[in-house]
Amino acid sequence: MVAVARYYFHLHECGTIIPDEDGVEIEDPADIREHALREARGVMAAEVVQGTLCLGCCLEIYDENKRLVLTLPFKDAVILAGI
Amino acid sequence: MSDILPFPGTGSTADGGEAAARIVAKLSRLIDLGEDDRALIAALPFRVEQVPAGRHLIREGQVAPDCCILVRGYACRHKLTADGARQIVSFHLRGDILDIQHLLLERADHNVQAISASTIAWVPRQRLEQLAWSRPAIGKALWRDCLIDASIFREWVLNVGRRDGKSRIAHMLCEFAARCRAAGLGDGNCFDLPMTQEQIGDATGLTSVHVNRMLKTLRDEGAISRSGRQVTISDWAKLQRIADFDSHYLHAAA
Repeated sequence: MVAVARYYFHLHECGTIIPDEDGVEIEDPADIREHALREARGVMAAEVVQGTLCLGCCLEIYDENKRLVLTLPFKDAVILAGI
Repeated sequence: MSDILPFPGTGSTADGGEAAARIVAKLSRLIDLGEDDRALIAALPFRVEQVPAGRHLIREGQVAPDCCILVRGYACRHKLTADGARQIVSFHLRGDILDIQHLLLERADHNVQAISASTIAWVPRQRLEQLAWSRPAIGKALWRDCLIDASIFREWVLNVGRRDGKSRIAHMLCEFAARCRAAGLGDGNCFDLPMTQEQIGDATGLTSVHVNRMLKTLRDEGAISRSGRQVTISDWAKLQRIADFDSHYLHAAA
């Protein structure tokens, strides 16, 4: 059985880093960005419900060897219109 | 969906005594069981099996000829959307009957999965059903167990549908702490949290980064502290207030 790779989604909140110690198994590395988008949008959606939204935050995704594989700024996770 | 149990039998009756002790302890919290009822439960033919974390015990659509009791470890029930998104609908710990509904409903309508390495005891459904009909106290205890399960499901619908992320996680922690204490695991303030962030997210309708962020917020506010998998509730009153948690729906027995 092939071991599925695990990726760690660290949240950078304008000065505060919330490290992900659990990680998430992702079978196909091509799905990392899609997964990161869902994660970022999940956090942003909850912020909007509370009435604030910070677009300066980002997600940094590391692999098991602590190599940075993707940075996703929140501002790139949504299409903003009308501002 | 397969009708065949998806795992090879590694059962033995060596741990049948522990299985009997767990289910007797659980049912005794639900009703006052007499010595003869306890003896009849202990005499059930338990098939004990060790399973790794992640193993599916029951899959949706499967015909389930046996009922399964969690002897050690932790499990969850869940359902999947067509595109594979998972909603965990309950967490379970030792003593829980994971599929009591299969006494009367032949086909599984959800999945049951171990979330840690676990010991499972399988009992032929017909044998448990016979006991339920012939021994009123046992039948009543199993019925109460089903009703409390349903009460917990109703609370979870409220939790996922109407509370914010922080409250959802706080509520899940309060419930888990109360149930651990009832099952004799920890003192209600300090307990092992076996779920990953992803599993907590699947139970609360949040993403795992969001779960991580909310756990940090609960730590920062002094409601909980964490050391590895161990969670300590530092301020019950505060956590309970954040969670909107009132334990009456557990009926003091779950």
